[in-house]
Amino acid sequence: MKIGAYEDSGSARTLLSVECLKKYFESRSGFLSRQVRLVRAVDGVNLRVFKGETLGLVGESGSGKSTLGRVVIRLEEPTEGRILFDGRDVHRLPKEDMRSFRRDVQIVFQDPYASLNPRKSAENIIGEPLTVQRICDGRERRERVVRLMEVVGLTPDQMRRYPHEFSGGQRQRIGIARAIATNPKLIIADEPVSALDVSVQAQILNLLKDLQRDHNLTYIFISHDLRVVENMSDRIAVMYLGKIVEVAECGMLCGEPLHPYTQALFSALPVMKPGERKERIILEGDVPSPVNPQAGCPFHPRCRYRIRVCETQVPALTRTGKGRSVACHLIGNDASGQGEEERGAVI
Amino acid sequence: MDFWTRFKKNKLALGGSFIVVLFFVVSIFAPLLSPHDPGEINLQNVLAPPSADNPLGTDELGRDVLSRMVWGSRISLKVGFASTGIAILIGIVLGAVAGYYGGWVDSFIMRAVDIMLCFPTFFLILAVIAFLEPSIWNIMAIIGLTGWMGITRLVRADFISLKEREFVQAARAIGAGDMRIIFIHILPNAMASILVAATFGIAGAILTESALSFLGIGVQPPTPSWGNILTAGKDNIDIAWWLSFFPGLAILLTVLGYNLLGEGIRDSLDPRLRG
Repeated sequence: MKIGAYEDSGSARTLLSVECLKKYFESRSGFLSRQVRLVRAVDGVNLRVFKGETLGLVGESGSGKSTLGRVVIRLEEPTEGRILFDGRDVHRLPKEDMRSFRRDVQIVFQDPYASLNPRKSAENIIGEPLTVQRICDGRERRERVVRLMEVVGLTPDQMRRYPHEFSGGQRQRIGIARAIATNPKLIIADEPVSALDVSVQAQILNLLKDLQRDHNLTYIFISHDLRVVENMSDRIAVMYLGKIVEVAECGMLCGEPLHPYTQALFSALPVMKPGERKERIILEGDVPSPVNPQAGCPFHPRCRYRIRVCETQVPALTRTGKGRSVACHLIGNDASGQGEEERGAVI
Repeated sequence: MDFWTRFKKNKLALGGSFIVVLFFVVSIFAPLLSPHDPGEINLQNVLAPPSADNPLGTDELGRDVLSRMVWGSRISLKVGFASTGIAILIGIVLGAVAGYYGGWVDSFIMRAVDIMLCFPTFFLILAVIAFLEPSIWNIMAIIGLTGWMGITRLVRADFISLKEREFVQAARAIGAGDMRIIFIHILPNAMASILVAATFGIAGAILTESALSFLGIGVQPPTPSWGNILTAGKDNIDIAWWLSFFPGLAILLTVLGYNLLGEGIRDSLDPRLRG
């Protein structure tokens, strides 16, 4: 398939590259308090997304995966670092190029009840990108909306209806139709099926796959549901406390997770075959607050393999093999020295 | 259950809308409904009690009270709608800007609201009217210019919560500009509470206009308004009760009607808001 060929990642295959990205939020503790606390939602992420692939982004809630998505699509400005889309810095685009960026990168939100304007009809919701981007209007717009509705599996006679008249799955289809209206290259799917019933989830996932095949789309697929990510992704990146702890091709990561956190995640999946048993790794404690991160590896307080260096040094995301990078002192040969700022550790 | 089903079940709200519609019809068809010319003086028939010819009696110059009240309803409605319109316009613009952009703009506008709220509005109006000549236009303007604070706060609160909603984020992601997001995406979703506030605002404005006219600094005679009919009534209250009773009743009913309507709309829009 498409995987493998990017091994020696020619930049021609790279659609999006995230470099040392940080996004901190300020939170004031009280009304008059001068004390500003920093929430490190995304804390030094390096990532590449290749053309035509689906990159799964997993992590528990609060790991910063949605924030990462929102910075990539420029709904938030980064605190540090940059994002290159087609080789150009997203957050420094001149106004005209920004317009075409909005056309090329789209987002599908988690909650189909909140992501559609309750006062607009399906036609207006799906057609709005066409109007805003000045692609077409009037009768031509209506024709394209009809086609888009057919593509996502809605019947065009529903286009005068308002969001509350649709089911959850239908609304998500409207959201997807809106996202593909401008023929984007990259779609960020931010937990697109988490709010849906399992039976509807499968339909939406299949729709996303079909669209990817027919329109040559690239996805960043954000989810906390390992099964869904496993099903959708070519590669998977695992986030923990604002950092990426492991990136690998899907089969590799699911078959043999290397990072202790990834191992714990996958051990939590229920066993599907009767009789088969596997070890359950129970993580102790909670995810530490991203407000005051401790020194060292973000995972060390909960890691059962921790050694002394884990408490003092942040492990860099290091390449350990073909198409695989792990940020752990115990894996690979690089336990000394490389800070998280190290730029070489992309993938 | 949708809005209309709930609204129709609310008897008080229906009563309120009936009153509102009734006064609307009366003011629109004033020339047809008034039995006499409201300015026609008849010194032979001064302070006459209600009779077949003058259903609500006559005033101290022999003018027909019913005709004057019918024409006066136009003033009340004009002032009510125009001044509330001004207040809403200011409120929407300032509230939208404050809520959407936040930061120092928000602080600045909200402090301006706080300052305006510090003035006892009625005395502020009195002071301003003392400098300007009392005309219906000035009354509209001054009531509107002192009544926007509540709506500003309301709109701001709605904008703050709505701008974080995902459909607004989605609009931003497709490249919609601030103006499009404010007016096409957020404002229509804030209209419901604005409508409710407007209904209450109209009631308040009608009351203020009547009070100003009663004090003689509102609508000037001979133009009839409910407030200035009351003024004339106050001097003759011991011999001509009808001169104060009917305009007072009209003011009471109109204000009640708008308030009931406003409450009805609010409760039907969202039953959880009932308070």
